[in-house]
Amino acid sequence: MKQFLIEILRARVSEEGWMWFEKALQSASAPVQANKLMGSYTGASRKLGKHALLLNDLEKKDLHSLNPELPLDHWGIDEAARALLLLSLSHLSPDEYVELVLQCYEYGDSREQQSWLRALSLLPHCEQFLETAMGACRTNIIPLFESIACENPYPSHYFPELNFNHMVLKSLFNGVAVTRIIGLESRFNQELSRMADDYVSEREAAGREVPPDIWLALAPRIPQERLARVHSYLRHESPNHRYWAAVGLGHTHDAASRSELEKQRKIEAEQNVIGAMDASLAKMVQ
Amino acid sequence: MKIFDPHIHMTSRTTADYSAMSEAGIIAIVEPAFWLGQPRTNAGTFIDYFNSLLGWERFRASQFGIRHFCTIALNPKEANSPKLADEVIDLLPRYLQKEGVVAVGEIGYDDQTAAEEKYFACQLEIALEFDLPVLVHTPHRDKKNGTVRSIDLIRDVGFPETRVLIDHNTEETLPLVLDTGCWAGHSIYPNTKMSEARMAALVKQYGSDRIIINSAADWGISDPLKVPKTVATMRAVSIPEEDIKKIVWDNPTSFFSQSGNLDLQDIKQRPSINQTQFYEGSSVLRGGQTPLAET
Repeated sequence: MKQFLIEILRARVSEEGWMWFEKALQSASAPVQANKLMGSYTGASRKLGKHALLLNDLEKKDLHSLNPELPLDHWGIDEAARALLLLSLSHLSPDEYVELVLQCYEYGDSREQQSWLRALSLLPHCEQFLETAMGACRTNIIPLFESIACENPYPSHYFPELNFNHMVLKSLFNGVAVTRIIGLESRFNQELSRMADDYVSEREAAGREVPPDIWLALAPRIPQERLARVHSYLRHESPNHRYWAAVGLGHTHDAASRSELEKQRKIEAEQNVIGAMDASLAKMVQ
Repeated sequence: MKIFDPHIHMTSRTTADYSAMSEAGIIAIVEPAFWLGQPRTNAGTFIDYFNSLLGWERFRASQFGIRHFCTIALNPKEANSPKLADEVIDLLPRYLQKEGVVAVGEIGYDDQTAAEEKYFACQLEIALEFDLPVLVHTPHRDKKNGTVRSIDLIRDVGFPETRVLIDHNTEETLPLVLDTGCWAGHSIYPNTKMSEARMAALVKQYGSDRIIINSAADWGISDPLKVPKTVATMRAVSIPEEDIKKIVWDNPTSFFSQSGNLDLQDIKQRPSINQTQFYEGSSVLRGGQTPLAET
């Protein structure tokens, strides 16, 4: 992965930028000069720019075979460089490594912290950064929250259930699409369904809109007697609700839900909702 | 009508807000200690935060004829930060007896983690020891469950319910709180939490006993005039004047007077404004501005 990132970066920076980066890498080699390293970590945006990597088709294919869970397309050039700096510190002892890498986060501005969180799953000893990653979910800076919650495999692999569930709820709360959470399906659980169900009740009691993609988090593990409300959203006037209710129900193996889906499928007019209903019905047969 | 806003984070607001609040009839506020939007990296920064709540902010409010009280605590979010939580708890005894401190707060649950529960319980014990009321924040996410758990914990600790204000209630949590002896706060906040019209409907349904409203204005999209605006809405739907007065004055002042740091007689008088004053050499005025001095 390190080699892949180096090639991606090399293809996107100027000669001058590359020279700066090679020098920055030297500050990461033994003996590490912490202040220089942290200066380079910060300086990457100024020296290399913040343009998105925007991988070409071949690069995307290579990335997929290396790491199917980590999209990089939206990463900035500076962020790839920052990830490489952190990956170049692996010669340190685990304790020294964790201490220095944490400092890059703690002294970081919002973009440095975002870069750090995006790269987290690639880092050695990354389980040691669990507290920091969970703490990052408490931010109200939405782009920063997205950098840990979205397009990032770290939470589904390392977060305890409670923290994972709150991250999903916070995404729904802030209009961040839950489909951007990597590994959400592998972490469906009863408590998440219960929390989402309570949130729908709260929004309905307040006369406020319910986020349509909530059904994906809610339906899979909800007790059977709570499914009637999901069924009612299959008939909702908004195609978005019908779509996500259909997708959510596809993760259940509930016979009543199946017949509800079949019934609504016959009268559904929107193409994408029909597609979701068909996909769910096919899944429920398996 | 005299208005008390019992939950507003003035540190994040401007002097224009203070002027508008004063104009709208707000003569006293409580500023609860909470998190700053940006996580703090060490406990020392809490010293400066608590000092500014008790010092500069109190002075700034006074310059607009507003009495400023505050609550002091380790907030629920930062209870999850192991490297500062214990140190902040150790600071609390130095602050809780200071003039203007009317409760321990905001305490409670955010993500409902084990660490939050530990420091919630611990601060209930501290409030018992210092004989202070508590201001309990209820979480944005999984709110109903968080409210039930808060009430359970208050009962487990044996904290007197009449000295508990449970905040940020909704249609679903209010009946749970009113079933206890606790007071029920409502944050009238744009887009999230509670709206003026929904609040007026709740008052029609549940009456005014132990009901409190606040703006919870802070660094988010919020409005420091939400309490006077809710007064207008309640009048528009014919809620009796004595109920409105109870909600925006009698209830919050009675609740916080339990601290012994809020005098029910003194507080009735709006403090007179004297902008010729300085706080440690600083004035709220800048060059060319004429100080307002009432006699």
